[in-house]
Amino acid sequence: MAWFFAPYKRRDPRPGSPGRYCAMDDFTAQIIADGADPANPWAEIECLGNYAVVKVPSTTSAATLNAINAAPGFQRVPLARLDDPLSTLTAAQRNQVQNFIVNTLGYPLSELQADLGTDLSTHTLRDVIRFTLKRKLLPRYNQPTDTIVLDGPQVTPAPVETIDAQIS
Amino acid sequence: MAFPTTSVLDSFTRADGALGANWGTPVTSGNPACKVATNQIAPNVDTGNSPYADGYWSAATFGPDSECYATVTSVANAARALYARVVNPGNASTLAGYDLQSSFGAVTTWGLYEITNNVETLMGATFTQTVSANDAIGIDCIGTTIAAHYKASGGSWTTLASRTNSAHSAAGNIGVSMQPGSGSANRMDDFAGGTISGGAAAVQQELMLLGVGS
Repeated sequence: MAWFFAPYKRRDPRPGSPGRYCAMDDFTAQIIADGADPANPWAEIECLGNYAVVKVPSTTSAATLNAINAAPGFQRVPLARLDDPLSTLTAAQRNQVQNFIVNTLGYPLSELQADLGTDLSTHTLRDVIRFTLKRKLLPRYNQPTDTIVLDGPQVTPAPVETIDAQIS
Repeated sequence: MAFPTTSVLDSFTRADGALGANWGTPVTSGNPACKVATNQIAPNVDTGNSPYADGYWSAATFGPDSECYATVTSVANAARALYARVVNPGNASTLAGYDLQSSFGAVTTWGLYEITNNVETLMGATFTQTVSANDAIGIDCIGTTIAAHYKASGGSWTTLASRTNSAHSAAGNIGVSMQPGSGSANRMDDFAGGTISGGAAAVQQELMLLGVGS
């Protein structure tokens, strides 16, 4: 299995109804072709920054994982299980994850360091994902600009264990 | 839990025209109302592809554990949606709830959506199901499980997909949305649904009355 941060993209389900979808759906067909359950090939929880934490199953091929990782906006955390330690990643990989959380998701570095310290190698994948799921902001539709804006109210997303249990 | 547990609310056996007093419109602000045509529910027009027409059962709200289902009597290569737990229908800023819908331009692709502040967010992956004339589709919301169901004509109900979402937990309306076809008739019949007895909320209430759990 694999874990990604995937962006939400604009896709109106029908004319006149503003909508968005987790961009992992762009790879649904490939993930199913690799052997995933068509009814629930992957699962996500929305986090801050118009992104989602996504788990894809262990049946997903290396080629599909590479394609997902290469897609614009996607960020893979190259660990498989929630209890895997970040100490097994290189410093560069840990910095990439940290920079993504701060620069893309939008969490202040001070908040991240207050919760997780300055050395992510002492933490697990679960710790990092739990941090990214501290909050999200609800969407609204700005009709004059035809944009979906995520500016609150703030709500607490579901726990990461929710999708961890769904996808194996 | 078996699907469905409720009965038909409207078989549209009446003269062509407005849906009538048991229905409210719109679900999505600005949409025209569905109508009755040949004892079925229909979009307001049969050409043009958009806007979709819609309507919700205004005679009652249901839930929070609730379901909605209908028979697709004419596919017309057009999309459609069923709603549940809808609150603030017609409000361009605060419409909320869940819906099952087929994709505009790709009617065999379906998705379960969560609606917040009139923004529809796909939950998880889309899934594929070809619907033929007299097949049925349905959605139910039981606790935080939102599921899509399908029944081939003459067959049994199957679950197409389910998602977990806690955004909307209150009772609400059920309803329908229909795309005008490309010169052919998009029709549904036997609109059904209601509160699910024995759902998660009902079980929780019973446990509380028995002094079990919290």
